[in-house]
Amino acid sequence: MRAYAFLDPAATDYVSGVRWPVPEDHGPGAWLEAGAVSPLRGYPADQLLWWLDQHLWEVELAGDVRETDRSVLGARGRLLAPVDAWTPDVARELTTDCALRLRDRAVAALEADGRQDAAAFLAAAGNLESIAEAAVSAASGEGDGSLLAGYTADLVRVASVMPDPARGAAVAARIAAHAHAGGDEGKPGYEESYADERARQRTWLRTSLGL
Amino acid sequence: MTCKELVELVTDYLDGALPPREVARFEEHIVTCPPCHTHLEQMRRTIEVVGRIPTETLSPDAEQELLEAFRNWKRR
Repeated sequence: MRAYAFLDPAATDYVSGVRWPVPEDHGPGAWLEAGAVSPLRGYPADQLLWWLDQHLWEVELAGDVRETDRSVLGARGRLLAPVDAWTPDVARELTTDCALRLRDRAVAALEADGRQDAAAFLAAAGNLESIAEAAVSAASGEGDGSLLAGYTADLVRVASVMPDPARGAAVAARIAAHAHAGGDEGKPGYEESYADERARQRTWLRTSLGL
Repeated sequence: MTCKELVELVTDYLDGALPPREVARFEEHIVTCPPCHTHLEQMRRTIEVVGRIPTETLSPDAEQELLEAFRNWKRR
């Protein structure tokens, strides 16, 4: 079964710790056997996003292949070819998309809180730097607007300190979903709202990659 | 999921004993928390190394001590 895997430059899966053999020529890489605590895993095209890394590979999984809610596990696997559509620019665009959507939520909440000036200042922010500046300013105070502005500022700040744009986008998407869902796992409706935002992000990514 | 919850679940995660929903929460925490990722990696490496130690190289006392430690670990 074919699937996709985000890997670092050394072809290591961040979550499973598995290091895949990289193809030496244009053909597939060598087959790799799964370890007891190191599963071989890929994701269907509609489930990309749960982790992002610098390189996206098409992988082939074989042996005892098992599908979970999100991923595909195999007893054996090999890398087939890199997906060239995944670039640092696409990762940055994903971070920006997440920031802009969360900014819009924060703006609406600030307006509802009666903080029109802060809402207008944040609404006028169109890039990550200006969004962060306006969001930090709007985050002081009480209310949903402050909370969402705080998450918006966190999203931009944390994404910017990650070691590369791909990991920045992974964290940005996670923070965005958490914020859209209300920021509290214990709140009623959290899981549904979180899942909705993650689904939207997955669609964005799949469409951007043309998969 | 908090870091404390993750630490409590890490062996179940590596054993494949967590239900899908908990696996999802676990992995989403891992990708946004570098310290917990490091903890997971350390546990994985430990299991891989310990799993390669032949039991016949253990003295009876050491084997008994390890078995007792694991029994107590599960009770906590």
